[in-house]
Amino acid sequence: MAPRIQSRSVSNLLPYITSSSSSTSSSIPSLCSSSQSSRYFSATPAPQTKLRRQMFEWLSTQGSGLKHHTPGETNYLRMADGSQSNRPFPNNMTFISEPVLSEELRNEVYFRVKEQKKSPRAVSVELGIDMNRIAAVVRLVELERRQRDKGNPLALPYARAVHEMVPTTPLAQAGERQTYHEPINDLPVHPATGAQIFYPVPESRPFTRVDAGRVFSGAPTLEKKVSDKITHPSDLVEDVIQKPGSIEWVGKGDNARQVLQPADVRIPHPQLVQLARDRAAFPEERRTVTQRHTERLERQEKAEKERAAHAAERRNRNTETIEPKDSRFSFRIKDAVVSEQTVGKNGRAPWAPGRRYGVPTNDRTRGTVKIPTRVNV
Amino acid sequence: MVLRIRLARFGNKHQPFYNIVVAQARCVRSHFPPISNCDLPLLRQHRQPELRANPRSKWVGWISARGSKPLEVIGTYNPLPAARTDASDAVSAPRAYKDITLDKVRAKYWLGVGAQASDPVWKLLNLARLVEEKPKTYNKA
Repeated sequence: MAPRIQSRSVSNLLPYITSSSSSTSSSIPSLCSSSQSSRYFSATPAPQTKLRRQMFEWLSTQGSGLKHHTPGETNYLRMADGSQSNRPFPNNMTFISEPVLSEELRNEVYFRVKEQKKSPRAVSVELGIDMNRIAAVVRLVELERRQRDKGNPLALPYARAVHEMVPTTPLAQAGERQTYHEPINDLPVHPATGAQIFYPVPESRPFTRVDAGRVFSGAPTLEKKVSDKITHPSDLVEDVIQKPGSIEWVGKGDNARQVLQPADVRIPHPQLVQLARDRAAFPEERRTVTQRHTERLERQEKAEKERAAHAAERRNRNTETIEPKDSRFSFRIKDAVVSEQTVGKNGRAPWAPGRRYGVPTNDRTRGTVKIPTRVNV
Repeated sequence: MVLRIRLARFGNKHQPFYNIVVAQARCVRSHFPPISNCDLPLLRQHRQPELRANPRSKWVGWISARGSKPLEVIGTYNPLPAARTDASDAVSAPRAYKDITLDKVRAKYWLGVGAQASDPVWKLLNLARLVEEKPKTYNKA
């Protein structure tokens, strides 16, 4: 068994950061001078290393400013030029604190969407926040309000502490330009574009992003009559938004897929491409360009709303919601109709109402992969 | 020969899901038990003279099993309440909902030919306004 360290007073064995550098330098030699066996934890003869001295110097000069933090702000080390850094760990350059929405900004998002009835798409462009985040903010603020109305306590000290630990994107003051919180027009990589395809094209033939999408999805080349009408891939945006069913399908059965549209159509804010193109084409007519953009946006939003309403109406046509007085729940009664299409010839088609008899559930059949094997973008 | 409209439990442990089915309440009186419920119409057609000839046969039927094949599936009932996602401006959260699928035409037909709904199904059919509410005990008293 290894010999145990004898118990003894360790009061001035380790000078802590609070003690000044002068007192530590005086205390340690006395400890060393007593005897060789009195040093238990250190084999270093020098009482004060260079690094240690530098540390105390830094603590008394630059570091003293970091001792007490300003409430509501992060307390990270500053850059060499004195500007605010977003790296809380200076030795780990890959760790970057991404900003979160400030309280004012998230309340503004809610105000614009719910009170001013602006579309999430418009608010996203105005404030530079991703549309998904806009939707999430509205839902969460709604939840918070509900908790407040119920009189439930909120974890406000926790929220304050988190806002002091990570940088926040502030809401611009009146007259200022809003800082963009994040890139809003990012496009996830479509799996169909992962393939490396060698596709020879004659030099004389124009080959655009529309054609590339068709090649990736294995669709035949567009007829010249049709392709000549498309001056820019973003011309297709209007058609796709007005009539999403107009996108062509290729393949049969399980392999059926829609033709891959150009990135100009698939990005979250396709109208911004058209705005930029208009601005470049008519640099003098700013007002007309803005007006055209607004009109285009209104037209697209109207089409989207109409489509959503139509889909909801179709969904609810056969559904009746009943809210009994003495029940905590409401009941949605959907009318199923027995016909050859709905239940099959023998009345036991897999898509007929009800679970099936004599058929094991899908997850129990042999060879069925339960984990998702593909992601639909 | 009573027909019953009743629930047949599907789903996993703690995840009930019911088919609303039309099933025989009791099997026919016969010399031997039927192989399964789906043979009942066959039995009725082909062995009826025999049954008439021998009314005092030995075997007495049972109530058809909960998991056996029914005559017909006319709907489903999901008793697990689903939270509403369409948050409104209302202070209180909207009521959670339970899904019922029902083929009303077939339900009316089976009720018309004398099928008797079990108590839980009676409540569902009452929600669908196909039957009157059953008098509760305190109403009777």
